[in-house]
This record gives sequence, structure tokens and C-alpha cells, in this order.
Amino acid sequence: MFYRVFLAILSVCSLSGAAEESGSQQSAFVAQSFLDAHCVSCHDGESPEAGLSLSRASSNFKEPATVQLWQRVLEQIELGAMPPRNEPRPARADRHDLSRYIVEQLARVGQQSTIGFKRRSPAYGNRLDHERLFDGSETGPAYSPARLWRLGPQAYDQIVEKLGPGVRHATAIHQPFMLDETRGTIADFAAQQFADAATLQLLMMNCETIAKYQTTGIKRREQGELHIERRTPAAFQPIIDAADPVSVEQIKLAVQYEFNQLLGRSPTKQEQTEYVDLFRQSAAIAGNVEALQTTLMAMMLQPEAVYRLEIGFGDREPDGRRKLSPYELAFAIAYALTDDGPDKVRIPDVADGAGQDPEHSPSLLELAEAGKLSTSDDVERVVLAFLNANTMAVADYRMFRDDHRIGNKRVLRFFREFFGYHHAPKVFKDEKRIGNDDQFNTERLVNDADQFVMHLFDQDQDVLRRLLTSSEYFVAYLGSLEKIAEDLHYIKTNVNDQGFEFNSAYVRRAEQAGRHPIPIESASVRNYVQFYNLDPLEWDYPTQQPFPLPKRQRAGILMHPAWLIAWSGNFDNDPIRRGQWIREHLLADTIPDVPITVNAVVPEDHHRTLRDRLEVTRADSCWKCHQKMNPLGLAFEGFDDFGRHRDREMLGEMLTIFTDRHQQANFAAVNQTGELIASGDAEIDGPVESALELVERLASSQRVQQSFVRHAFRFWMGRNETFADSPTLIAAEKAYAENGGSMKSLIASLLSSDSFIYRK
Amino acid sequence: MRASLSPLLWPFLDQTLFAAEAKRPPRFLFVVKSSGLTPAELVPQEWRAAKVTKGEERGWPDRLRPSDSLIDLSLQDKRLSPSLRSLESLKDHLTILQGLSGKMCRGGHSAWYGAMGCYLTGDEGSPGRPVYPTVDGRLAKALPAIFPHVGLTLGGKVLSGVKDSVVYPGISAIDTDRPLPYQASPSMAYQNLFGIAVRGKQAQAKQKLKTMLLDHMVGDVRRLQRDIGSADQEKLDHYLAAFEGLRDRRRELKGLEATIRKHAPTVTDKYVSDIETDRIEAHFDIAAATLISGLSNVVTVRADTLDVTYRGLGISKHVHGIGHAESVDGMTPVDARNRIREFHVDQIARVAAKLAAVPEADGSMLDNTLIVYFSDAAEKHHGSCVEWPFVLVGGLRGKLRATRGGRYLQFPEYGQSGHRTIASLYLSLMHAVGQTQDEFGNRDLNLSKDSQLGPLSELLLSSVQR
Repeated sequence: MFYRVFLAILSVCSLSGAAEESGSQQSAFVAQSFLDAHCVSCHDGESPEAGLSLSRASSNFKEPATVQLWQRVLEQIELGAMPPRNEPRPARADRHDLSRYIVEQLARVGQQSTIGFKRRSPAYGNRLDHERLFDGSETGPAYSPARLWRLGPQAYDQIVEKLGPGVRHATAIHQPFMLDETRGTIADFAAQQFADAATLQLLMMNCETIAKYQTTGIKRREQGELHIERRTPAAFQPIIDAADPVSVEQIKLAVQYEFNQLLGRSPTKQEQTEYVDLFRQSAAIAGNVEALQTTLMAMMLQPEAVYRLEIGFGDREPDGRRKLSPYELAFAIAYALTDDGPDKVRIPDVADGAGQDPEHSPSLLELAEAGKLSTSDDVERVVLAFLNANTMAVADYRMFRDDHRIGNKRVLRFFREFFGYHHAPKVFKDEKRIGNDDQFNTERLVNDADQFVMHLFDQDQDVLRRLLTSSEYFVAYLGSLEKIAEDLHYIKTNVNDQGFEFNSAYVRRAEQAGRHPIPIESASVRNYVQFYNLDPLEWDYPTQQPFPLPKRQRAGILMHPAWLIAWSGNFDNDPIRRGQWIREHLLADTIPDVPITVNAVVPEDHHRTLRDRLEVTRADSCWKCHQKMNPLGLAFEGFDDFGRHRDREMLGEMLTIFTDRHQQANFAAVNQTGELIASGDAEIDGPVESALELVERLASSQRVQQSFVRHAFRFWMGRNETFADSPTLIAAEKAYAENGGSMKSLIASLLSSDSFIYRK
Repeated sequence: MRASLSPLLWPFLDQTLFAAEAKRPPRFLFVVKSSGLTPAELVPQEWRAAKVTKGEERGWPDRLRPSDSLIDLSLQDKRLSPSLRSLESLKDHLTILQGLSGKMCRGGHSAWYGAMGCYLTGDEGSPGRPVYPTVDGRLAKALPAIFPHVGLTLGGKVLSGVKDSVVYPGISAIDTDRPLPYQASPSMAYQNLFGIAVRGKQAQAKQKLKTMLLDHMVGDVRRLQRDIGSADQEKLDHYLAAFEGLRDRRRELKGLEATIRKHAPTVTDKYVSDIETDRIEAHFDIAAATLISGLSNVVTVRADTLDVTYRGLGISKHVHGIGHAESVDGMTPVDARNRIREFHVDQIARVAAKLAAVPEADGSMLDNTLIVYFSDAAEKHHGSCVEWPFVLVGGLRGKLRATRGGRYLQFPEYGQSGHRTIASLYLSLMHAVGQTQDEFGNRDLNLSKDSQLGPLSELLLSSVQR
């Protein structure tokens, strides 16, 4: 096309004076031609689409409005969102040239394009055209960028524990690698995580602490007595004890030990030499012990201990992509599945049959060294073996157990980040309504939800459908009959407990009445079962779980009290954000930000129902977006903002959550109808009676399945998908569907895909 | 993106600007509260009847009556509102600034970076992107120091509670996509800023080892950069810059050891206390000592977040609950808001008194330090940003217009002729340090362009303006 050639010429011609100006004018003309050909048929006239008129777009980039306009155009073009699918698509090269023109013009006025930032941010993942990702028109080849991926906070904790077991009990260790905790977004995107000056400040402090803990120990004063806490590896002791200069061999042994703990590998010759030199120079100044501490710190601070390298040190493909080496793959898989390094992640050999002792199974690192971790098939086999070997059978939810022993930790983290239910304890609820211990109660709900999702993951049949529709829940389940018996025994026998009389009386009464008591030792915490509309005094606790809750009341994770609270406001339900969540997470759709001129406030008049108060969003300018959210979220009005099922909504200020105490309160019948519109799957569009019908509808949709796959992709790749990843997404969806709704097959497919294995 | 470039590597630092005044550059202390700063509660008691109307509902704060023309009055002989009373003795250094707007920002619980950057960003839970630097970041660049910017805070993002580590509250940025970190632990802040004074007399050997370690790390990162080529270079650049920055900073701190030791605050139990008010007091002590010792010229104190409960003031409810006008044991929500504000203002007065006691040129350090007190939620808990009040204490070496006995300045309300925005306030600060730009952040597209250009002529002496 003419203007493409023109732009190419423009890019090499002199940028001086008149030539530049005339070039700018002409390229602006050419850009306008593009808009005229593909955009203005909709974006023109008195009421242009999206309020955006492009018929005479300004090319004066010094004007902020012009910059904003072209940023929008660039975004739409780059994300494939415009022109719409039913319009002729401009040639790829033409789009590329227009993008380049805009980027160059922005650069001239000192502006950066916002598209790069958005591409890297999880919040913008859905901007990429959904149909194009799944229609097979994109053929790859897929790859991830060669990259450094900073350790996550949990992985860092594991390394600290490995180097200095128990150091946290002795002193404070600060978390240097915090992640953004925004509700409902995938937290750990590789491109967003940096180790900068502020991170280093914390890292340095931690390294100093650990180096002391590993050598001379940390002093701690308790009740006037001085304690020295330390854990010194055998390889360090001779250096600490030596009065004279130590031998090179002794230094090498110490370096070797720490290196293996940190990176699961031995130092290279060059690395070893450098650390030996550092030790000797340090020893000359301050002696052996200080030198050892300095050397340990240097090892802990090395970039490879902070960033996982995913460069692609393996074979190079003709198209320029490079495979991750087996060593890189071992790390990538270990951190995709766990928070441990590849030396600690053991893979049972499925070929040897079941029953192999996990302790004697080879580690990922050993598999890599043995040449058993290089092909896509190898990866798939290893991933499935690991996911199958770690089940909820060992889960432990007894009191005082912070670690619930969930093996597939990263899978659980994905579910948490995707659904966002683990934010329930962070939603501030007025103390007078919820009573004391609210945080503790909502944490209980999160535990229940964790068991709900992981149980379905273990069963691995129709996972997404059952996540959305199963009415079999876990409530205060401890993991097994034995664990329940253990905690009940504790409640009945621990005479020193403050509430012993009261709690043991409760257990006795329940057992005498032929009911199973709730194995929780505090009455106020037992009350939390009310969130499920269960009576804490009369409920016969099911010792086998999951168990069915009344089907007419609630089904699936979106009607779990943890999810409902996590997506509620401080004082009310939050139909808008619930609807937005469904739009973005289940329908791969996008909702624009609230416009700058809008002061969006729900009227505070509590004598009207929330549905009624939300009528303010019916104004034309609001409804355009709100129609995509409100009718979805309002289907959940059959629950209050604590997740309790209800038939009527109380009007007026709610003084406690126990509405029966409101003798004078007015109630309105609950209207829990809703509607799915423009879902992207015409089969499921239409009105719904309630949330129960809504989730059944959603669970039947392939669009929903694909949206789920896209989010899983982002979690396990640590980035947003691109069109080149289309074959990976299609294969993952296929693996899920062909294996009967198998989430494990989906994960194995993602991790054995080109997107995961190749770098460029 | 959590990537703040090592402050010492900023290539565009104007090192010469204040070379002549290196020993007495202007300093800034921004104090940013959450949940809004109530305009009506800044009005002197004598004017309250005329300028304030009752709150719309029971339990909600009173409202400032908007004005259709500029009000510029002296506070002499006027009694400050009860929560500002600790500023009575500092009235010559006081300006109460009302009537500015900031509707180019998001509002709600927080305008995030917009509050000091004048642009729309973020949502309820996330600060969004720092599209441009914020005013504290801009001033930090213009006023180089060993620590160009020091951020001190109780918590992280606006809805979070008290933290004990480095956090990113999402209100300050040194540049596009470069958020500024804040230290939430007073004891760690002390160690970072004044640690050299504490350790100075300990073994020289330890200092040498630290330098040796940093040298080694610089070499180590460079080696990896060579080995892996172009992949993700930016990340290694940041890591390298962090080590280089630390190394250079140690060198500079060493040179200032005696001064730092002289001005370092006394560490008390408050530095490790769990009580919110103790931690805030410790942070204000650190802020004052940081400015006085010359370690930094720009400090921002994030005074609280919405999840903070002021137990030390006898308030039983989170700031969030108070913002929603919930009842509080033994007091009204308005009383609770007043008590919190009074506590903040007491801290500001304490810092101001310390600065006033440091002689500088023919006055004191307070004459050349401006304390800027405001909220990132503008005028109320869910800020509309249609008005955005500020309390200014201090001076900028005579560049700020002063009124004997203090000044009350209220701009015409939003939409009226003569109305100005917070961008103009920030431009005033920039002009006062020689950064004479015309625009700051994004414009409010519903206001005329001209009304948003340049500094507030009412605030600056004409010689400072272009």
C-alpha cells in the first residue's frame, strides 16, 4: 500500500526542518487515510461509536487530547479489537505501519505509548480479541520472551527456611518480594517483578541475619536470659573454629554447600574462584568468621538467587526460538507447581506403578541431569505425575495447623487468585454487625472454600462445571475422621482451656442428643456456620465431607460465602463488582474504567432495596457499561453481604447480622432475577431466575471454558497471552475437554506447550 | 511496575541548580492523611457561623460554604479551629488554602498518584499506573540529596493496615512507571538513614567488608549481564544500579558521619511499638531529623491508611468506619475525625518547632521548609475532588507570600471565574525551586485551559513567577 512505502521512506529520511514538517503532514494524511478506510464508517457523525469521532482526527500531538485519541487508536489496532470482526480486516503490515507512525509521533512529544504497559499488566489481558485466539487463524509459533523471573514471596520463604531452618523464630525476616494483592488478578507476572533499590535494602538485611544464623548465631534475650540461636552447617564449622588462615579446600566446601542449597547446583570453576578470592580478601581484613559471613551474603545476593533465569540455553530452532535447557526447565516446572526449588520437588515414576515412596522418587533436578527432562512429552509426564501424587488425602485442617499440607499449592493459588475468595477476610465489615472474631470467621470460610476447590481438582472430572455448580460443600472439615476425633478429644479433655466448661458441655449435649458436634473449641467461632444458614447449636456435623447443602439455596463457588463476602462492600452486596468479575473472568470481556467525569456513588438510602438504589445506573451514559454487570451481579441478591441465603431483604440500617432481632424492621421480597447479554455465546444469553440458573448457564458455555483457559495460561506463563499463543490455548482447551473436563490435563498441556518451553 | 531506579543514577538531576545554595536548599515535608481533610474544620472559630453549613446527615462533617470570589484574609487575632490550635504559635508561617479542585483525579478512597500528580489513575484497590511523576518526586529530582526522597508510612495501599516493611502506597512516583517506596518500620527507617552514625565507631573492618561486598556484587551482576546478552536487561540494570547506588551512598554518608550523628533522633520504644500513634510520632521525628541533617530535602509522610485504628487516641474504630460515619465508642464520628486531625497537626507543629530552632541565614530552617498537609482523598472520605483543602506551614525563603499572623486563602468555587486547581499549587512549589513549567499533570477538561496554567499568583511573590 502506498502509505506503507511512504512511511518506510519517512523513517530513513532526514529529520531536519522543513523536510520533517512536510513528512509529518503527509504521514498524518496517510494515517487519516487508514482511519477513513477502516474506522470512520462507524466513528463519525452526530453520535459516533464509543463517542469517538475519527473523521478529522487532529495530528497535533502537542495537544493532550490528540495524544489520548491516538493512544486509543493504537490500543485498538494492537489488540486486534478494531475494526470489528464483521468488517474487512486491514493487512497486518498496514496495521504495523500505523502503529509505528503513532509511536513515533508520541515519541516526538516525549510521550510513551501506553499499550506496552497494558500488555504487561494482568488487568488488560482480556483486551486481546477472544475469537481470534480460538478460531485457529493464528498459527504461532508460540514462545515466551527470554526473561528473568523474580522469586515469589512464598518461594523466597522456602529458601530462607532451607538456608536457616527456624531463623524466623529467632528474629525478624522481612519479605522483599511482595506481590500486588489486587482482588481477582493474577499476582505474579514476570515482567512486572523487579528487584530494585528498595528490594535490595531488605534483601541485604535478611542476608546479614541468615549469614549470622549460619555462623556465630543470633542473640536473643528472653526473660532476662541471653540465648544464642544458630544453625551451622557442618561445612562451615571448621572455618569458624580455625584460629589460623583456612585452606582453599575448606572454603570451597563451604561455597559448594551454600551454592547447592541456594541454586541446587555446584558453582562453576569461575564462580568458585571468585568466592574463594572474596573470602580471602575479607579474611585478611576481619578474620575467618566475618569473611565467611561476607561470602555467604554475596552468594545469597547473586542475581541468580533473586531471579530465575529463563533465557533458553537449549537447542535453537530455525525460526530463532531457543528451548529452555533441562536445568532451566527443572526450575520452571518446580516453580510452576510448587514454591520449592527443583532439588526438592520429587516426581514419582509412574512407569514403576503406584506405591513408590515419594522420598525415594527422583527430584526434578535429578531427572534433568539424567536426560529425562527435555522433550514436551517428558514435561507432560512429569507434570501429571506430580499433580496426581499430591492429593487432599493428607490435608490437615486441625486447630493450630497453619500449614494445611496442601501439596498442589500453586494450583490452589491459581484458584484463589482467579476467584478471589481468599480476600474475604480483608473486606472490612462493621464489628457491630458481624461481632467479634470476624477476621477469624472469614478465614474459616476461606479454608472451607480451599477444600471445596481442591477436592474438585483431585477428582479431576468436569472441574470447571462442578466448581460453578456443585452443591456439595465443606464446612469446618478437618481432613479425616481421625483428625475430627483428635480435636474433639482435645476439647473434651483440655481442662486448662479458658472455655473448657462451656465447650465440653456443648460437645456432651450434642453427643447425648445423637448429633455430631462441630469440632471447634470456641462458641463464637462455631457461630460461623451460620454463614451457610446452618444452626450452630442444632446442626448435626457431617463427619464425611463434602456433603450436600440444600440445592435450592446455593451451588458452586460463586455462592460460597467466602466468594460472596470477598465480592461484597463494607455494608452491602456489591452486584456491580460481582457482575464485573463474571464478565472479566468467565466471559473474557472487558469493562472500561469509570469515566473521569463520573462521580459514581450508590445512594445511601437504606429504606430502598439495593436493586432499587442501583437504578441510578440506568442513565444512558451509565447503562451502556452497567448493563453488562448489574444484571449478572443482581442475580446474587438471594444472599446478604455475609453470604447467607435469604428470601427477603431487610430495609433500614442493619444493626446486627441477626435480622430476627430487628423487631421493627421492614422487609422487601428478594428479587434475584438477572440477565446475560452479549456474553459472546448466544446460546446462554437471556434472562435468568436466579444465580442458580445463571451458574448453570455459564457452566454450559464453551466461551466460559475458554476464558478459564486464558486465565490459567496467564497464571502459569506469568504473562498475558498474545496471538502467537493461540495454538497453546487451543491445545489446552482441547486437552481439558477431551479428558472429561480435566484440569490436570489442562495444566500439563500448558506446561508442555511451546509457550512454556521456548524463548525468543 | 515496582522499579524505582537507583536515585543516584538519575541522569537528569540538575546538580548545579542549587549549588550556590547547597547548604540551604528549600525543603518539603508532605503529610498525606487518608479519608479526606474536612474543609469546614479548617475555618477559624470567628468565621465559622458565616462560612460553614451543617452536615447533610447526622454524624457527617459540616461543610464549607463555597465562595464565588477570592477570599484572602489575615488570621491575626483569629482563633484557629480546635484541631489546628497547636499551630497558634506558628501562625506567621501558616497558610490555610481552600477552594482548589482536582477533578482530573479519580477521587473516592484515594486519588492515588493523582493526588500529587494531577491525573486519573487506579481503581478501588489498586493505584494503577504512575503516568507522570508526582510533585514530591519532581521536587526530589530538583533538590538532589543523598536520599532524594524519603517516604515514611504506617501502611501500604489505602485500604491496608499497619505494615512493617518497605511498601508502595501508590501515591508518589519519581517518574513514569517509577513508584517511590515508603518505609513502614520506623526502626528500619532509622537504620537506613542514621545507621552509619550508630555503627561509625564500631570496627572499621566491618565498613570495609561492606564496601568490598558491594564491589563484588557490582562485578557479579555485570558478569551475568555479559553472559545472558540482551534478555531482560532492564531488570539487571535495576539490580546493578541498586548496588552501585548503595555503594555510592555509603561513601557520601561516611562524609557526613559527624553531622548525622549530631542530628540523629533518639531511638525510643516508639520505634518498635505496635501502637499506631507511637509509630507516627517516630516517623515525624525521623522526618525532622532527616531534613535537619541534610540527608534529604523532600520527605513524604503517609500519616495513616483506612485500616488504621487510632487506639492511642482512644478511638475504637478504623479510619474507614469513621469515614462512613459509624458510631464510635464515647464520641461522634466527627469528634473522632477532629481528634485524628489534631494529632496530625500536633506532629506537624512539633516538626515545625524543631525546624524553627535551627538557625539558617538570617532566619530559621522553618523559613525555608514548607510542610504541606492534605489528603489523597481530597475533601472527604469518598473524595469528589471538587474542593481540595491544604494546610501549609513554613516558608520558601521568602518566595511564598506571607501574611502577618497567618493567612486564609479561599479560591472561588469550581466553575467560577478565578477558580484554580491543585495543579497550580504544585506548579507554585515547582516555580519556587526554579522549575518554571506552565502545566502539571493532566488538565480538568471541564475547566478552561487558562485557569490551569502557571502557579498561583496569590501564593507566590511576583518575582518568582515568570
